[in-house]
Amino acid sequence: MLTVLAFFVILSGCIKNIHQAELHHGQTSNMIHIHNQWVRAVPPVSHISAAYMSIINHGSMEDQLLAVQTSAAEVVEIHGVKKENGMMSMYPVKFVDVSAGGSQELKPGGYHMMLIKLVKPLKVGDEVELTLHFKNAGMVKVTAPVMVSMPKGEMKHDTKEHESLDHAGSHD
Amino acid sequence: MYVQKILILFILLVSTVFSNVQEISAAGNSAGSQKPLRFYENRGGDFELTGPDGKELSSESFRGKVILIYFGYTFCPDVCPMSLSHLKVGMLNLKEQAKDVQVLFISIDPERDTPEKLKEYVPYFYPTFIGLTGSVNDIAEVARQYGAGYFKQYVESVEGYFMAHTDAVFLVDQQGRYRGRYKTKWDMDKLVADIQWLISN
Repeated sequence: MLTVLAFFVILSGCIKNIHQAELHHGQTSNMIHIHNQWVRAVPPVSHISAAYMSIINHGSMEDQLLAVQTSAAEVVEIHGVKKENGMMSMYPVKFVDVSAGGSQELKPGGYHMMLIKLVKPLKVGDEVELTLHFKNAGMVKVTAPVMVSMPKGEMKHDTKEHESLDHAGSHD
Repeated sequence: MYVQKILILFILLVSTVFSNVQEISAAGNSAGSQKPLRFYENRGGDFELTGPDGKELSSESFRGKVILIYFGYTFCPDVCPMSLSHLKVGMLNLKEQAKDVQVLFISIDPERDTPEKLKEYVPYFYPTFIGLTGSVNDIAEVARQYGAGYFKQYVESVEGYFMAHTDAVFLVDQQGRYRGRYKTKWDMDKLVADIQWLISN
């Protein structure tokens, strides 16, 4: 009798775990997509850099990016940029909203992930692994290449800038 | 049905004409029919700050070259590296004329930006770029001359403080006179054209 009971307890525990694992996996792979991710290459003497990307939320639930970790830096903070009295200033944010069926851009001059106290200098061509923590989607891992400037084909409204950066891209 | 087709054709026609008009006016702005750059009475002027080797460096030593001044700081993770990258693109677009242009990166965070730090940081973006620092008062004076603003921001961050600052590049001609101010994100093409105009006139 006890054996049968024990069997069912263990079985229900296993089912619960499988269900959660499926849910977690299903959520991260189906709902949040990251693309155009990159990390800015900075002078070796600099201990600070930034990561940028597009976050697309394919789910029907609003989500929030809560935190980011990487082995490339001791601390990652998320910051926004605003213009105050004609001056650009940064402000830390506790989370970044990504609406249901919507997207959020992290790009130069806007929201960005600040990589603070780089563990070692970033070199063009390196790959940085970032772990993003979302409120609903959970953990999303993404690998971002270290680049000198924005990936080509990224600019939607800046065709002029795109042309000039194209020139730089070939020299990098 | 008929009306719809005409409407679509009309829209196509208007957009074609509109984009052509834009192209023509853009072409018109290039060096050929460029208007002379204006002078500014009470802006700019010479200055002396500390160069990357710790010695005093005067803006007068760059006479004969077009100078581009950017006020920023090395602890800046986003805006400054972005703008310095844009300036690098400008130098590449200038090709042989790049040797007649001197970019000066003036630190508005002299407490943390030492000459040694600037020496290692600034040339990374382009080998001829020079970083300048100085006393808090000297920097404040130069920034005031050029109309650049900045302030210290203590924020909830491991970094302690950030600097809010004007994100602009100031154009100075070969005689040391202030000739204009540009946003590196939007105005690089115009800045390059204006530099070419200064060099050829």
